[in-house]
Amino acid sequence: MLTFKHYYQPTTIDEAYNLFVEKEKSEIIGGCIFLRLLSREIENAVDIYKCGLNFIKETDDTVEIGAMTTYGDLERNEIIKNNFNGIIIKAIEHIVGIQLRNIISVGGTIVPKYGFSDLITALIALDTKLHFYKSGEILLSNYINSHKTEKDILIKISINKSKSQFFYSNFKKSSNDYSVLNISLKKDAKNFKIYVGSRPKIAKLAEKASAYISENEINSENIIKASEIAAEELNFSTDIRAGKDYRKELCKTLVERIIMEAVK
Amino acid sequence: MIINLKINGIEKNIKINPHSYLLDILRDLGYKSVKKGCDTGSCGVCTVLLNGKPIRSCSFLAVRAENCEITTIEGVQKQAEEIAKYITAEGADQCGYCSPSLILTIIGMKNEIKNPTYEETLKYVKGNLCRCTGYEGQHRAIRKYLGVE
Repeated sequence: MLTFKHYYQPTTIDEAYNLFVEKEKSEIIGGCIFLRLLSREIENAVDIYKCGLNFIKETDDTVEIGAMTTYGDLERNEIIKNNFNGIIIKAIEHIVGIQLRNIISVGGTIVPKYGFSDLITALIALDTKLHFYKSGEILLSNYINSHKTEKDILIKISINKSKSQFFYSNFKKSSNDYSVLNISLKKDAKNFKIYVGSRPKIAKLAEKASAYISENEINSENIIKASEIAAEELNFSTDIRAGKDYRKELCKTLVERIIMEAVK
Repeated sequence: MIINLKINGIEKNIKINPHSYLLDILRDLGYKSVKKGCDTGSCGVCTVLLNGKPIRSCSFLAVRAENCEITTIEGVQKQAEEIAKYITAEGADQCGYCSPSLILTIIGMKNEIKNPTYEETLKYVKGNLCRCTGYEGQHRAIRKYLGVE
């Protein structure tokens, strides 16, 4: 059972940050959905639910999403529906059920770097930036490879509007389960970037495969070759959903299909 | 700590632990229609409406529900009876364990989506796991209740 020894419910992000750094053994309570499955006591729980971080804003160039925005809010939002080729919604719309998506938060998924995340795999293809209270801006792709240890709070994410095309796909055993493997692709003119997540590790760029398909003629043979390169260059592991070898084979199929979709 | 919860239109001051989840508080208060099933956020039988939208109360801190409208099946008896007629007519009631959560989710869908499509109805209720009947009967009942072609 998860317990809080001391609980704080700040109403501003300034207050939340000050509590977070001043209190020893403090932790930020964001989504608090997966955290509750653990059995431990949090000495100082700083709940950011009421800090005004649930928002979706659009400017001419960017879309900003508050860290406490729920998946349900994303699904219902016209800005999200009308941008990024719909891949954010495609990535999240079948996760578990609407009741859980109405409470899962964007920040609660990103900050712990959940490997199984469908959302992270979509966001990484969109060159999403994370905005932390203290340390400022960092690319999601850099954040997931970093070992950030200083205390900080994710305030929002931002995504630049782009003329690139984006694609997303995943494979699940049942439609509302976690993905066995998920995949996203950014196509900018003839440049491709392919990301594979839920390996079960977090999404990673298939660099060699992306370079290969970007630099060679688009035909069936080269698409298959790129899918084989992706499967070879990425690491896969075994978990309750699938074995390492199964994921590796699946990667070939999903990479092939997503490139085919992108060049159609 | 003491919080104020508005449940089915009635305000109550309740002493809770800040780490208490809404499901446990509601059941302690006697709202036994809110079931404790998997208790991991997977099955949906703990569904309640929070400001009209369905949430899994097993995964939502009770303290966060302060100043929100919480609705359990006890608060929507008339509407629930109407929906239940469609469910029983399709033979989709069986043990009834998941019925309160299914009915609340249907009400949430009706609140949120005007004239839902067939696909939208399927997607909206797929997070409600039924232990016995399967889903075809439920889906027929939902479509008839909402007038979905």
